[in-house]
Amino acid sequence: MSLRQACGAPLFGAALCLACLYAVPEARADLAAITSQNADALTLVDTESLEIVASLPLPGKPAAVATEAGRDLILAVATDPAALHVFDLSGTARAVWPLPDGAFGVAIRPESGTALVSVITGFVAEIDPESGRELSRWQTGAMPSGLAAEPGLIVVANRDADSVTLISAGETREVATGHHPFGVTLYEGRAFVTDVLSDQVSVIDLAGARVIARIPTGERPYAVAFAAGKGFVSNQYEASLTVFDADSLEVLTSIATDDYPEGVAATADESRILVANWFSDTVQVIDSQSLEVIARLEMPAGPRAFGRFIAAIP
Amino acid sequence: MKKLMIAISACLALLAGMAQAHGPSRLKSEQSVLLNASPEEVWAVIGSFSDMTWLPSVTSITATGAEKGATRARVLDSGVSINEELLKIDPAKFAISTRLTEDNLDYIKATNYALHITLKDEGGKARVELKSAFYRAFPQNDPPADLNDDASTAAVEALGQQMIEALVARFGAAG
Repeated sequence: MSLRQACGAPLFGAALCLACLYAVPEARADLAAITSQNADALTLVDTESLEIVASLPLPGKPAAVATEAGRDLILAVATDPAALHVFDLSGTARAVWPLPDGAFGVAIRPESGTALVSVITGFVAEIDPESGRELSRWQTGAMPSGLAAEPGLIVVANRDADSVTLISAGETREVATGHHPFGVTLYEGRAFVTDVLSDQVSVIDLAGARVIARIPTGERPYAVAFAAGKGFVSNQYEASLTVFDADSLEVLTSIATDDYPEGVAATADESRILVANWFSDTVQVIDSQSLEVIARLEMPAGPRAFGRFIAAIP
Repeated sequence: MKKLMIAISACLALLAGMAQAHGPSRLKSEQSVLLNASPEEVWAVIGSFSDMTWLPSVTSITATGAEKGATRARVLDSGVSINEELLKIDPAKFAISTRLTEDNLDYIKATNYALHITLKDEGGKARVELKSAFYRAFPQNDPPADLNDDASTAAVEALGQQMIEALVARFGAAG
């Protein structure tokens, strides 16, 4: 398949979308978009029924993914060769755009619906998912990995610089973190950054651009999600989620998972946490109140789902 | 001085290249064998960070401790020396995980190699599960054939097979 190939003219795309709307039951739950890096696949899961809605080919060893229901958008970054894959929520492939070598993380810029892609040679690129055009580029620290955005702000973890870069209004600021920061999650004015080699989460006050707390985790923390007033951190080597109180930042407990958990995200109603387990080829579903694992879904090999992989369907 | 600077630049470039390919695509392999012994009996043999006499190719081992985070130096009969860290040890779950702290292609043609050994009870017999996570030996783009994904996966599985054969020789295979 040509990387420049986009699937269908806008009118055709619109017709497809309409068809999807009619095909989908009304009381649909959220949609989880799980990238499987070793199997080159994207799996769409209904987070309520836990049925697999679509199993799609996604070549190029994809790891990072981002979704936004309001824009009917799923973005995944393939790493080899580097490409931005654009899908709608029905799983229809809309476009594939080439990216600079070393493209890795992805987030959706809320103001514009554009793709923010971290490129490990040291910058974040903003890509228009409609045209594939690069709109902006910001320098970061070394090895930018996970990133997250809210209106007016982009936060990216610089894995080999032990820092995060805060980008707002064209101005960039760097804040020191622990060792090997990888995942970034924004929550209530704070950035929660997993320091993989420090076994902790650095909590950064975004207004003051400074670290205000460090939360001890299990071994090799990778990603953070929030639900029901709690934070959930995936610990790869420990095969667990560290659960902490989102206000006090005190660690509450730990939940055993399958092996090498990575991507973690919450449903819109915050009742469930989904975690993708890279080694075990599973997604586990956790009740955010009882903290029990309530389901385990088999996935194509190597699920990572690194990013905001659940689309909150209104 | 200039030569030194050039050497440093070359090293940095090499490091950058190595780090570069490490972001995206980790590999894994899973192997298992059912032994003719209970999990307790097998754990008594393999559940130690400072003793690997069950693996014939190990000639000496020096460990700094028995807790998570401890390191050990292991010398093999081939003369190769490797350094490892204890990531996890859980006697209740019969689980031990280690990783190479320095890549050593003479030991295994893979990088960032971690090994997780778990024993499961299967009708009173020990099911040994070997789970390996690693990157290919040549981290940059366009790897040579003997250092690519397939070659590194084969090397990891050959090492796992050595362990399985050592355990079968000691306990016998069940079923």
